[in-house]
Amino acid sequence: MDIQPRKEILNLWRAATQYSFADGQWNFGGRAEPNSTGDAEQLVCLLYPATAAGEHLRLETPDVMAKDVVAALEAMGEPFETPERLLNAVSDFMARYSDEDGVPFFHGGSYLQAAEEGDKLTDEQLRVDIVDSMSMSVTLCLSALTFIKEYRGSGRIRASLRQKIGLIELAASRRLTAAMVGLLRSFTVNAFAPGSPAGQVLLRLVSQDGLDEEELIERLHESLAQVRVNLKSAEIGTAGLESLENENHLFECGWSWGIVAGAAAVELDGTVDPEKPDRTEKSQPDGRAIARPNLYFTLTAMEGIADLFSPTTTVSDVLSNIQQTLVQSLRQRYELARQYWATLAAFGRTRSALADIPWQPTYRSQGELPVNDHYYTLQVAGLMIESLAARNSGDPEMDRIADVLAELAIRSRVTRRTGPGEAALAMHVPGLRIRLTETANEESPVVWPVADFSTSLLKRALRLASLADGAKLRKRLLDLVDEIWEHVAGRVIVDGPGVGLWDDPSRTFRSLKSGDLEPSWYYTERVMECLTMAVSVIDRPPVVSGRSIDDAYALYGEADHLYHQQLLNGALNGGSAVRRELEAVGIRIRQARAMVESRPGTAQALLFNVLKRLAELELSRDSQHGTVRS
Amino acid sequence: MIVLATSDKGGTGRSVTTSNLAYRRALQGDDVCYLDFDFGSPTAGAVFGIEAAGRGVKTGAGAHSYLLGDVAEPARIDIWRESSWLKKERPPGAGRLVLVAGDEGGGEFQVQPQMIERCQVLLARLTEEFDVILVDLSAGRSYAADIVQGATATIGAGTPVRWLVFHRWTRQHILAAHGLVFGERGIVQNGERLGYTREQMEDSIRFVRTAVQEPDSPQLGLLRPTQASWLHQCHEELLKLAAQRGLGRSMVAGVIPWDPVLQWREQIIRDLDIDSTQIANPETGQAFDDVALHLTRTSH
Repeated sequence: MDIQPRKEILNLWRAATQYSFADGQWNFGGRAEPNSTGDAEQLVCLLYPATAAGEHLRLETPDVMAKDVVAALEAMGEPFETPERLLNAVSDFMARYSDEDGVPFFHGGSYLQAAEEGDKLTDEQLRVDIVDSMSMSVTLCLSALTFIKEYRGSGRIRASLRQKIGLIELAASRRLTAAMVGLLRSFTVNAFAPGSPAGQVLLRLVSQDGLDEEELIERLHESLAQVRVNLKSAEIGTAGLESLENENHLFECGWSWGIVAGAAAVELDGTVDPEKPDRTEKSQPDGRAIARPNLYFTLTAMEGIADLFSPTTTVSDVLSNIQQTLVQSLRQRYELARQYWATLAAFGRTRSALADIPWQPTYRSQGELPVNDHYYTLQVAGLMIESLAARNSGDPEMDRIADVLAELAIRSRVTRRTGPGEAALAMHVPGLRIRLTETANEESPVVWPVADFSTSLLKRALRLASLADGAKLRKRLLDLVDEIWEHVAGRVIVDGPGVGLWDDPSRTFRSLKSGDLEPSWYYTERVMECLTMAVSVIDRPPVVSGRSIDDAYALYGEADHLYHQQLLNGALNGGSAVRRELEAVGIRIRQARAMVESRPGTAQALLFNVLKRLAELELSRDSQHGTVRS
Repeated sequence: MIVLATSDKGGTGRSVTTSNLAYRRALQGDDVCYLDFDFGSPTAGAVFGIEAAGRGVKTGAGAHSYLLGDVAEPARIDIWRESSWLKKERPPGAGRLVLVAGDEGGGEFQVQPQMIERCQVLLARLTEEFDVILVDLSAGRSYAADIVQGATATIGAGTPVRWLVFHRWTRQHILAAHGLVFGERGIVQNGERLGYTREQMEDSIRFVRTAVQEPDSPQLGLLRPTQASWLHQCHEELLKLAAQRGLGRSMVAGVIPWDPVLQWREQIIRDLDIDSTQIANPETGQAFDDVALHLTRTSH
């Protein structure tokens, strides 16, 4: 593995703070004007690794902050000033994206684009809540709450600061609740007749074994029966459930691009925890999004939701009772979506639907390029990987997904050279452009651009590597990770205002014109997520094989045996030098034995050394008689 | 400003570091007075290179005699002129640098109310004349410390009082320094008894780590990798311990690296020791400069 996540995260931190922090305060924005998603991404670049990368890169405990971390954050001032300044920025963010009544919103804002070049979006069009913003806010608020909790216990904080932190905590918690409610109301179900265009695409997708349509439909219904039944109980805030009533129809579930039109308000009347007071959100905006899941937003929502029940969140215990209830509802939808898409992806005996690259979406908006269907393959692969993680799947299944990722890396020209004018370039620039459709009959003029293929691919490869049990699969995946990382790292901005941040694709794709050199927080945040995931790949015990454990046991047996023979022969009478040597050998043998199962290679190295030392003692005795063995 | 320099244990390099801080601060342009209240062993004279006051003055006009009421005013020594290590004149741009030495053979004594009064008079007079007064107290809890703390408590809000607590970078020293500051009858409790709030006390106290060998310091480059790895681990554990005991980074005024000149010739480190003869490490001079500069910085 070539990535050194600590070094890379620190480099990213240095660049991000130098860019963002000037004149004693945090400045939002980069390539895009400030908006609720981008600003959260900008903050998450610092806060997420600080709370999610274990103990390695803590920022909230200035007393024990490591030297290299201090150096990387120089731009933010002295170590003990950093947490406060960062929290001021969080506070600023919370205020910026709440209305005058303090109700948080999740508008797409400057990230939104007009579908037709040259058109300008109206303010009304820009003021639409987006799942990306909600999901990023979940991550941001959780990081901030965890951060605050740790910071508070870390030592001396002025009374006035303590009070201010309390207010920031309240605002973050409020935004978290609002984001969770928004995510609940963006989940949806869409059913359609097998004979409809969407039904035909879906059937073609799962038709891998040459079954006739009737049998195929039957099998598909059978595999999804469980999901279908359970979906009916996912009522809170979900629009579109009634479409499941026709049992003959096929269906999809997942997240739309925003709050779905007609989604009911979510009642927040759980028991109030006096320590973590929540204000009931009375004002939940009406939904506008079509009741039709989109794979990109489904995965985006699920990534935020996964943070809600991650070990970090569970351990830090920052959620209020109301939020805990919301987590349960979200988790139910998370599991349903995962199960649904993993079932489709794994469909087929001879070849899985996932391996039939690229994946066809049931709906394609006007102007969407077919080459960008690879995004959908990647997203389904991501869902499949999470499903493997949940049931501790074996290596053969993971191997097949690794094949898909490697293929995608080639097709997207991430691990291959590009020729001029290649279609694959469109996957990176401009990338997937998702129309924010409101009703089925009318194409929306508003587009949510998605250009994260390379980081998304890297993240999937890292995630799969973190799950792999076998040394061979792990190595294969890490090799792939290195290749993708080479591509991603090659896109860093080397000159200009965003130096050290991302994204400058023209450096990798030579045929592209050099573009904006302000940082894209969208892309930079995704690089940071990959690096944080790389931490978790390294931060686990090494993969071991049964064979090397057997070998280590054999060496241990021999060494221990010879050692005891030496003791039996009275070698301890041989003076202090021999005694010291044998004592040292005895200690090494015990150390090696303790490591046989967890680090058989290290154990073997120690035991080889022990065997050599024992042999030297023995052979030197033999040379007394002039019979040196050769 | 009055800076009270103390430590729990002897041998922390408190006197030599405080002297260096006084020297650096004067070079930075402030008028500085060094008040030697380490009555058991008043060695500031030696550190400053003043032969007549190597172990306190013999004239019977030291700080000790003054507190006892034997003299109306303690003798002052102009360090710029008297030091054998300096150039017998004040460097251009520098402030005054004056030593009020202890008495040779002084020793400890019981606290009398008049002593607190005399101490207060002395400090009041000195604060009128000097920007910074560094008071070197003896190691551990001492009568001198009680007198000074008592005297400073009533000196008025216009004169800020800071504590510098020196400790070496070892487990025992960290625990001892913690006890001296936060323990029973420690500096904080004494302060609270004298009418300060706990927060005020904590804001006024800072620690200085002395003779620190950071794992990446150049002197340790010769260690075997195994030793270096072990040392790094020890260092990390000390960092954690210090943080737990309220001696973490946010409470630290400075970290003085181990230095051969401080170790073997307890003296002022001049710039020429760093630049010309190169017997002292530049990091040491930098550390002194930083602490001296930040002495008067308000708390965070």
